[in-house]
Amino acid sequence: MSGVYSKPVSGPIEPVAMTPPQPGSPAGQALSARLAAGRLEMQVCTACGRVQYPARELCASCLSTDLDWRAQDGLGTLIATTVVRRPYDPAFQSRPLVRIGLIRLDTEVTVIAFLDEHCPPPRERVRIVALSDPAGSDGAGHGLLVAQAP
Amino acid sequence: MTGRAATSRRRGYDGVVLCVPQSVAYQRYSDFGAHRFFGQVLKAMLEESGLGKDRIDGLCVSSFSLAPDNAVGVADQLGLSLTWLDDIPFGGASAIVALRRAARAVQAGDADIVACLAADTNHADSFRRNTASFSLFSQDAVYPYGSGGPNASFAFLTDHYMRTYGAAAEDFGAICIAQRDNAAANPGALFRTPLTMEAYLAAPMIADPVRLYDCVMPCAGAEGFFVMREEIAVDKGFPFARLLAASEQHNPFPGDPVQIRGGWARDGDALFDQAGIGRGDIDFLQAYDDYPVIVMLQIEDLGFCGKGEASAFIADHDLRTTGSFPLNTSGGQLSVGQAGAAGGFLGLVEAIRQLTGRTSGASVKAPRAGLVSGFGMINYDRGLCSGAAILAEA
Ligand SMILES: [Zn+2]
Repeated sequence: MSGVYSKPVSGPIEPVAMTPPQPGSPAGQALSARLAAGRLEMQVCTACGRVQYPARELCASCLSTDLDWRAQDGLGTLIATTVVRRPYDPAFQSRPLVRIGLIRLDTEVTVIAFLDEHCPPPRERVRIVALSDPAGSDGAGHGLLVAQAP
Repeated sequence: MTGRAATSRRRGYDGVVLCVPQSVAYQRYSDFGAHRFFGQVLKAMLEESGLGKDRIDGLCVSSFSLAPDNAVGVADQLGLSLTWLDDIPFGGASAIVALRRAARAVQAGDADIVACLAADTNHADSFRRNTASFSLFSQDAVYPYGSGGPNASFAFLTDHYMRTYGAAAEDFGAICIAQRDNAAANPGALFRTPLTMEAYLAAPMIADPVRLYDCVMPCAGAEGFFVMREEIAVDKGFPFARLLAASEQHNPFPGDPVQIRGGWARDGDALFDQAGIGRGDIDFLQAYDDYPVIVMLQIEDLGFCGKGEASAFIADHDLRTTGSFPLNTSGGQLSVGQAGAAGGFLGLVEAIRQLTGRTSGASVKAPRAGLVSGFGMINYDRGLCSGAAILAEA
């Protein structure tokens, strides 16, 4: 399913590297590596059970630093969508337009993800999956989230 | 609930006044740095007031383009010796926060005259670089998804708001058009040509459903005003405005799945309680307006109408400076431009102008009180910082 998010507005599907070169936090890079390996995992606090995204250094609820990476089913509801027609980054400016969405997962975290071409409209149930960007910021692959029909 | 409304024990701002509002004309791009714009606005304030630099003992600055410097670098470059110094990095909420800090410092006697300044330059690639590195969460979890910046963030808010409350594109257009009318008399506005609904709707989509005229134009410029003891302003004969109430909220509703309200929803009532006046006493609203949807949230959350009722409120009111509900009377950022952090100061500086009868554009008819609100810092999926202040004539 690599690259299905590349032409969500119109046209055929083709794999393409999407991610611009971009620094990230240590926690964010740890998450990205898991997503790039095709594993949808998020930080879960072992003290209070809170799931959190984006990745951070500690639990924003109880401030514990004991965080586990645990597999997620990725189920949630699509809240809103947009098409970024004027991307700021040159890496996106030469690429097909991308559709992105704001998704509220059942675990009470909100994520931003690319939408694949079969993703239902807002207010519908969706599932986010992990996807490896073919090139990525360092050539080693960068993990991304894509929303699709559940 | 993790937050709370403003405390009823909050003291008033007696003896503190706001005066000498000044702006440095905005320009689309500049090769110069932010310090130059800080210097220009302070120079204008000193020339208007006749005060010497040695009378300024407090400085509060806001900017996105000072790095690697901070406020003390500004003090050094402007040749100021100070006993009080602050640096407020909260974007569109900076003016209200700066005002609150400065007012308490003056009230407590830590400073007599505080210059509250905001300035930013705008190089060709500034906005992209600021967007890419805005926060850790932006780097990790927003920018890689299409690099849409604030356009994409507000597209989500707008899309959700329209679906939830049935708002139409024309409702947002009505705000943009009224503010453009307000800008017509303001020589400092980058956009003064009247905007029609036809042109608003025909303009290209930037990030659906956000259209071209829903977006502000990033530019370079500066805004500033003094906060000082009332006796000094009276002695010098400076026209001034009073501060009746002010509040700020940061990360007020972390449990909301998506932003449908700002911190104003938490302490709008407390704000009016502190001011001792009602919403009907407000003669103008200077709302933060980087996108029209956030203006609608402010109108609702500050209590001028109920949640989801802003479209009807806008339809029922004339938002022009001479109208029944004057909104962003200088044209707002949507018409004047957004000079970085100075964008957050635009409404407050205009409010002081209106209340001291010295606006450079159209005047609200004999205003006695006005409300200014600020909003900023989309750290991840929502703006975290908000503030509001009620100002009154002397
Ligand atoms: Zn925890």
